[in-house]
Amino acid sequence: MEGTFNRAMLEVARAARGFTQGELAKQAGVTQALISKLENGLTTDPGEDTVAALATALGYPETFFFSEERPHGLPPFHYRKRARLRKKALAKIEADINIRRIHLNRLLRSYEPQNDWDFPTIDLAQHQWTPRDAAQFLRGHWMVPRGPIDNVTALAERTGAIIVQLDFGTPLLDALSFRLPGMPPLIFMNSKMPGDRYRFTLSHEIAHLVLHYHPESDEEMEEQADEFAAEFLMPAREIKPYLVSPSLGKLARAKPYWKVSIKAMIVQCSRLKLITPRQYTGLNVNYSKAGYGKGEPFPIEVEKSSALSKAVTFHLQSLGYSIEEIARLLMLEPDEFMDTYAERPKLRVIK
Amino acid sequence: MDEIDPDQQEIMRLIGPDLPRIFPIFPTAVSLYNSEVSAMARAEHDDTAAAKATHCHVWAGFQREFLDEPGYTFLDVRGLRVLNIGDQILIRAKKVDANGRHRNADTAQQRAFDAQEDLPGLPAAAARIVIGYQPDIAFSEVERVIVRRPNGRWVSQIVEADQAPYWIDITPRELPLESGRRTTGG
Repeated sequence: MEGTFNRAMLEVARAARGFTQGELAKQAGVTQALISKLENGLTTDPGEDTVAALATALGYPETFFFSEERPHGLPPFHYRKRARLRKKALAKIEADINIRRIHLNRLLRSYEPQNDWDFPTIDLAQHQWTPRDAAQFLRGHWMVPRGPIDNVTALAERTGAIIVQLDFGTPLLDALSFRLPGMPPLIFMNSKMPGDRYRFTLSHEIAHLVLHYHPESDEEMEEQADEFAAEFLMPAREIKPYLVSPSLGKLARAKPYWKVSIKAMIVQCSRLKLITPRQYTGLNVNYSKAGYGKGEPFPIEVEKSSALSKAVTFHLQSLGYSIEEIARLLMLEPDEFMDTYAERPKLRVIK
Repeated sequence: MDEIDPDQQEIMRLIGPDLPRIFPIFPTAVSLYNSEVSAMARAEHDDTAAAKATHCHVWAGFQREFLDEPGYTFLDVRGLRVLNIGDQILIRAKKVDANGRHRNADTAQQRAFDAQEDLPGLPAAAARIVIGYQPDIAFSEVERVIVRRPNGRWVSQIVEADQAPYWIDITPRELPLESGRRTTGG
């Protein structure tokens, strides 16, 4: 194999498969000491047999370990996470995101995403705006009609942003977003969450990308992103008639129209001062009593992102890549490429 | 163990064969309201409008099931809509709460019906019963269907089952008191 063995890609591959060093060593039939030395750069040339064994154990082609890609660490902000998230789970998510980012980087060499509007940045202090003002501005900038947003994912993708839906393997992390030089805004969404939460989370991430290009205090950024997301999805002027004198039944009926959770509407009622603190408590008590904390009625379908699959389809259909060629481009085995990107049964591996 | 009221036994025996047709009317009506009325219209409905619209679907469900069938007659006494089964049972449908009670103010006809009084146009000897459906707080599904003899005589709950729905007695019982003691609320 030509090139230099890339120890960082070994670490990414191992984390993506959820292996400890010991588990990988056992799976590949090598010593843990070798894995450790490889990852720490103490051994730089593992030899052909070891590379083959690692590739087989990890399910990546050997080229994966000789690519010149440099994995990025997760940004210290811009992700909705809960404190209980363990290090190993976070490492797997980081590895999955790095692999998808590398795929995107390679696909975007030949494919230009749709770009009807730009994805602006807004300095709240400079404009003396609140997050609500910024949300109203963005709705106008992106020419969103009055009322509920039909599809937040499609709207964001029309700006060229890439939304990647991944199973994070844990409900403890909802999303992560960042801007990287030479790439469109990237938003990684946990695909395992209810559709209403997905829409609010995506709007929250849009807020981070628009407002928080310089990190500030985490708590303040989260509050601003929530306030932005609420106004973006439920503009005060337009949703007020649906929130006046709210009962749980009334909010539940409004949910399928506004495509936001009952919980988000209760919070918005309070934020817009449409209810007293006592009424807010009462609604939350009834919400818990009804068991909605475990699942609300009238589930909202999770929106589907399409930018990544369009890039793949472009390579296959317009550029004439075969499955093997695109899999090689993305440093995947063809079967994993199919599992990851193909919309079965439209595409099949032709051997 | 309290014995079941013979009146309840008899009426439930009479409507028993119709329960497999009556029971699904209620979940179907709620489902119809949630799936066929537009999201925007439902968002603009208050609780009363939602209940009223669902009630229309309930009554339409009764009509789809029993209209023009021998032995079943639909009566309308100045707005009081009733299904007459063989001049033996008169049924009206109501949305009820967890205690089997309905909230809105009854008309004179409805009060007379519940009091088992004679009303012009209704067969005098027929038992007057209410079939109540209790939706969940979000109006997303029916939690319970009950049959109630008004004036607090008895309440049955219809239970869905694989074969056919059956009924159980859920009439509230007074707690036996020790002699010489009275309880107060709270």
